[in-house]
Amino acid sequence: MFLAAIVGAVALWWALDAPDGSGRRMTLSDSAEFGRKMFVWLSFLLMTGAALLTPAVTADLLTGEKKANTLGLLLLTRLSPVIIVRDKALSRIAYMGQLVVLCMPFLFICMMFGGVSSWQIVAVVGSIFAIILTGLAAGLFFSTVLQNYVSALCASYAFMFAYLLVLPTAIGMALAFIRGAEIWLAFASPFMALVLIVEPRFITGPELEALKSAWTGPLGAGLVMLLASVVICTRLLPRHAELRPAAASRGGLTGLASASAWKVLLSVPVLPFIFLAEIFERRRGIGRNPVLWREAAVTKRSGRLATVYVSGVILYLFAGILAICAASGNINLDVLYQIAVAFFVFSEFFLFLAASVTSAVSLTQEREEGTFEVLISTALRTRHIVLGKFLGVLRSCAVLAVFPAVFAVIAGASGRVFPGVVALSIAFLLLQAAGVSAMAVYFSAVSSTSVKAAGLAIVGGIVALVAPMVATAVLADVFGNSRAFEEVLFSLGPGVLPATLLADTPYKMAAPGTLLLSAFAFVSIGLLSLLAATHRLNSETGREGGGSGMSRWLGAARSALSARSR
Amino acid sequence: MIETVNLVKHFGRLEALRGVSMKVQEGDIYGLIGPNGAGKSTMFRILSTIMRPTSGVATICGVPVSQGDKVRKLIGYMPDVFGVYEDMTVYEYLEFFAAAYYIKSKERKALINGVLELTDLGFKKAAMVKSLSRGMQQRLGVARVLVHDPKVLILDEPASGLDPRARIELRELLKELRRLGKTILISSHILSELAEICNRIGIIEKGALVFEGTKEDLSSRLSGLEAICIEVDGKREEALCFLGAHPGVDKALIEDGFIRVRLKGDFKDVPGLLGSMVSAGYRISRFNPEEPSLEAAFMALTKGKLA
Repeated sequence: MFLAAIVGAVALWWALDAPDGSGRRMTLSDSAEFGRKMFVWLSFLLMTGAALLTPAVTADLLTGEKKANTLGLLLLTRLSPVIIVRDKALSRIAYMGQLVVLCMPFLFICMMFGGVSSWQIVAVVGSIFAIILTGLAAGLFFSTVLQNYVSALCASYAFMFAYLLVLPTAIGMALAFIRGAEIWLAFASPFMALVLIVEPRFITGPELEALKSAWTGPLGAGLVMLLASVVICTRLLPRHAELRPAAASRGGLTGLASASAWKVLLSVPVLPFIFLAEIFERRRGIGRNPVLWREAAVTKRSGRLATVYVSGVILYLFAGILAICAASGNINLDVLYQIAVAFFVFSEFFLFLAASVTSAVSLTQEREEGTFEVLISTALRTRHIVLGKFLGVLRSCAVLAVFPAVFAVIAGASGRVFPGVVALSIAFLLLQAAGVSAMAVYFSAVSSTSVKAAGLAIVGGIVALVAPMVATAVLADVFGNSRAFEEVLFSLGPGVLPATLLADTPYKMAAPGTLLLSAFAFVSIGLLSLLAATHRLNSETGREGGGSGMSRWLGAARSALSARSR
Repeated sequence: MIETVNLVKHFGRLEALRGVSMKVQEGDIYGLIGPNGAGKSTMFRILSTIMRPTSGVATICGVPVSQGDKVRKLIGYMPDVFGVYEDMTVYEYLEFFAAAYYIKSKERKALINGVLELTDLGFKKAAMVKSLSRGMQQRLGVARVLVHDPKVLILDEPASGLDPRARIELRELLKELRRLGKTILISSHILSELAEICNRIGIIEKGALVFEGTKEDLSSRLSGLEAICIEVDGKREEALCFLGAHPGVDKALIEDGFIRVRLKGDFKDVPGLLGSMVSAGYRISRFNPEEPSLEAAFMALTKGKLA
């Protein structure tokens, strides 16, 4: 497949007509333009792949050992913690490095088309390695301090998202008044470096010379982060060798009471939300669907602290950036609006991530822990199990929807968007979270391990949310704009719709038809995923096939939703 | 109560069950014994409606296992892995499964307290499942299968990994459940573990039932496999020659300082044998009857039956 893709890319070079659609062969300048565009998309594709894959393959480094209770045994051997952590990190560097090397022929093919310099290839590969090292540092750290793969994965992704996108964007906005500041920001952020490296046309003179070496900054920073992570993990490893005792995993306010000072400090901004969530939870009993209760109450209980810390980080970052803006005198309603939109995207991403990963492992964890067999031997119908998992995860993630909603309201309060648009973006946010979550439940039903299910859910979620928009943009870029074509494709997978409704972008489309089509797409994805998951469980466990009928299934949904405390 | 007729299960080319026909009467404690990989868990999964057989019929209380919804209400299944939610309290865990059997919320409290009392776990009601010992988790597993008051209990290797005390407690609990009228199908790969509590025994090997009957039937089938280990003070070689020539002895050899004697008859002949040794002037310091091992039983029971 790899070789076929290379051959296909070369064949495309020979086969393509000029991009103006005149039917003539490409000239040298056409070819250079095509090569440059291909390079831009390929670079961003590689960056996204590296940013998503590195935490996925690193977050299980030590959580896997903890789950299997083998970390303690490993520490009993003559291997020192330094060797264990170092060699585990090296194995993943080798794996990711191998993937980057495999992708390099594609970058050289872009060079063959023209329009791309050799320093750009070196700089892009350097920036991607910087992202890999950063991802490794985050994955290794969270894998050491957190107890399970899902928490470590979510925390690593949140860190990567903040480091790669939110922080440079927000700081860039805060420093917008300093001319050429972005060049120096590129020395600190691999994302900014990549953006400028692939599109350096408007940069000249000494700034271009500086840009050529900008990738060394993020690479150095990545290396320092990885070394720091190895050192910290080496120190922490013996303390985190075994799973915490049961009492400590209770989470919520009880868990916070025994947490360290910095964790308490981190959770201060979200304490009111935890308090309200606990009051709400205490009022509810198991009800009629125990699976729903377990997902919502027990999973929330154990995962609440991780949620609290990430939410704390988001709020502290928001406050910090506002403070930087205020200190530099660069604060006005426009800046507030832009920062609020950036944080809306960040918290939206975290909501989607938490909902999809939690849903993805909801059934696989039961399989791995041996409880699945017990669950399906009870009188519970498969549609109740699937629905319980889906609604339970949504209920447990509900608190996470508060943050994007707050940022949307702040963006609305700046007066740059209508209040109705804010409400619409929040509604679409919830709809998409439900769609992504339902799709992840299906991946959980068809996967044998949590890692596989989480990977499928993340890839599936990105495809459903972003791919149609990216494909539209690429096609529009290469073959020219077609508004109708763009609208249809965009509506089928409007992953960034809530954000684009808020933000002033070329993709802002508030046509009722487009919104309805988008809502229909996500409701369909959700329903089909849940039906497919029910059917899959029925056929796997040898249950009667008639159980997945739409009318019965909707009956189960009504019954679950009407279930209240005893 | 439980009946299978020509039950066959294939996993690709592997034949996990090869036409198993078995019958468990109401009130029985039926022990299914076999080595690892013999097909016990496959059999139990089919009976618990988790897995479909390739062919053959299995019924619980006359209801075919293909009617899963009806059968699941009649059975309580405990798999060979514990399958406990460690992040819940004991009470929450049992309430979860009570709800999973659609027991009304008003009735749950009394039911759960009842099974906790029966399994002697009442004092651990508020404890996290994770904090329980293995033996207690096993008892919690039994409490779980009792929560909806099923007629039939299907317990896959419930004593595996338990210490002697926990095994005794489990044995007493199973006897109590039998007194309460439950029919129990239980598996193990250790013959002696089930011999004391089961009134009927089935032996499964390579997917085929090689023996089914009462304990007495099994004893009569295994006669000739009984052995005793004798320790004598001095003159061990002479004693070995004496025993080798004794008409009641099939074979005698020295193992780990003991003389291991395989009898031609059964243990009824032991007093006569020991008496003749004493009369011949040998001083017996210790002797120990040795039950036939599972391996020996298989060798005897499968002779000429399996390929």
